[in-house]
Amino acid sequence: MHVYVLRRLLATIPTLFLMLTFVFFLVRVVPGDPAIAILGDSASQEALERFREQMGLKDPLHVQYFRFLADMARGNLGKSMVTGLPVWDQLMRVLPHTLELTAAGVVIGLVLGIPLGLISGLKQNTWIDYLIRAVSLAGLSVPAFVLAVGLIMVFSVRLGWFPVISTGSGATLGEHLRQLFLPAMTLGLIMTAYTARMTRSSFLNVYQDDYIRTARAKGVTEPRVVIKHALKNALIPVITLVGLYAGVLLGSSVMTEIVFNRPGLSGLIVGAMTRRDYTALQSLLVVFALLVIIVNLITDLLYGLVDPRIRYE
Amino acid sequence: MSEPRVQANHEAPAAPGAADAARGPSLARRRLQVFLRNRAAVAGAILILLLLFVAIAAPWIAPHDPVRQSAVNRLKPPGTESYLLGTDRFGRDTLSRVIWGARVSLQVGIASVLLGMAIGVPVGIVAGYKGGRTDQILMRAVDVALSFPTLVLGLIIVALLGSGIWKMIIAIALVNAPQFARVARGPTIALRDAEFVQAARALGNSDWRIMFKHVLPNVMSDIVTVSSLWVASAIRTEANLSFLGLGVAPPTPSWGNMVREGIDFLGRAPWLATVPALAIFITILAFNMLGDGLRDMADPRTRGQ
Repeated sequence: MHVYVLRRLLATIPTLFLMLTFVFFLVRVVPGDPAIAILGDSASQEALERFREQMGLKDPLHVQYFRFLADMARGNLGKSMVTGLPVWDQLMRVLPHTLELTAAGVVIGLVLGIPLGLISGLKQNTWIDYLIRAVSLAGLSVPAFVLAVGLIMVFSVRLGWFPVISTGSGATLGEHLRQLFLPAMTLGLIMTAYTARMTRSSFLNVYQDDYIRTARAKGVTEPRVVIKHALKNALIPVITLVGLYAGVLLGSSVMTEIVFNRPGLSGLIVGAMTRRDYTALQSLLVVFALLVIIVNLITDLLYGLVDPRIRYE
Repeated sequence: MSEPRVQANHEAPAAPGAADAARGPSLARRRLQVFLRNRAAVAGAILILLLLFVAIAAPWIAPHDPVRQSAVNRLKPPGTESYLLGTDRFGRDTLSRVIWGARVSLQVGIASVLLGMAIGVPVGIVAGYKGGRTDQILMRAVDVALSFPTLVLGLIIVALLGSGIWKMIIAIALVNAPQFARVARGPTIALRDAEFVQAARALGNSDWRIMFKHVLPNVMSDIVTVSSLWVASAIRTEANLSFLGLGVAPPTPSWGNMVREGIDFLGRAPWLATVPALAIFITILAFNMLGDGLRDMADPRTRGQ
């Protein structure tokens, strides 16, 4: 296991390096002069020059590149070109909201999705199976912002149970959860659909295996066969799914945040893009990609933990 | 590629009628039967044909000019005379805008998948066929590209190219290309050592000729069966980008920007956001239903599951 962990950790280094390079050049090719974007059309030539000088924009590209790599390696996200505030501080203000939302979405997705997928698989080709499959397909087909609009229409506009706008925090825990509920449900229901589908097909695959028949032949009771033998193995691909959709989920949480006007990464990234805030944008993209890479890493490690075969590949 | 799968058919105990299907006339015919038995897939296909009709016939079937503003007809509720689905804050007809929006969604969805395949599939084939270092480098690049959420990549590419239908198609194609590369690579590896490929090699065909004359057509059958799912995903990305205001520039109606404009009126004029939102949902659902059916059709093992 140690070797596996070590190998997996080492494997992320080239990925990280490529990712940083990619972000650096991606941000440079976005058109528009940041000096003009920030200081405005009316700024004097002198002021523009001074700004470019200060921001290191006049240095040759490779100098900027290595400076960027060095900063990132030290965990220095730099300062926003526009506000002059450290990106780290801005990030820390909003990141908890995005992580809270995404985590809530994953939890809802697993709590609802695994049992639904299991029921669907156990009752294969009955009306309840068809129903769960139809609802799952609908869940896979609905973009987060569309579902968010639907939930707002029903629960905020019609019923008035939850606020239309989510401020991200409340005075009491109850109020806090009330703020979180609809955005988390938006992500959670989408995740539920993915999870239920994956659990079902994975369960059906496992359920026909010989070792299940063996367990039954040994006299293991059916509920025990389902839970202890089948489900345990069926959940392995579900773990990968969570990792695979971490990126999608983060993307969906961005859309959800916008619909609910909730503070989070979305505001920072979209803001940095429209203001041509190079420094902030590249740091935010790095953080975003880093989150996805970390989740993938954790998924892989978990995968190795639950499925010993993986470790020896 | 399809032959071994048909053999898997005999092993599938869950597939009723597999035995007499195997005696049936042709593979294509058998597959069609499987497809037609899948009611959801057929419904999806019919819906898509309907949507295509609406998109193509938009100029003739839309009751009003989708961009013409009318100060006296602002925020008319659905059912108002000659405005079946009401009007927006500029007095534009919602129904006409939704009909024209179908054009944007389908055009972007289908064209971006075709373009994305044209970019990604060759990369995947080269990686899978050449193997070794080439494979490692290409696939590592694909991994990195995939570690960015589609949305963020799309955002950047749109920012780079600017907005407009064609630019959006290119942006979404570029975002999806790495995934096509990955999908094409798998079967290529399996085909690399297939007998007919070895035979082609023994006959002195060049690598490029083998890759594109022999491997590509076989890989395509795998890719075509999932293409409908990709169109669904491309339409979703288009809707997301338009919703963020980065898609097709207003006043051209697209479902995403209609929802965005409608969101401020959820209380007073809920149809403005919900009608295009439903249109997005139904369209993506239709492509997914068709896509599921096509995939099951190609893979008898999942039949009846």
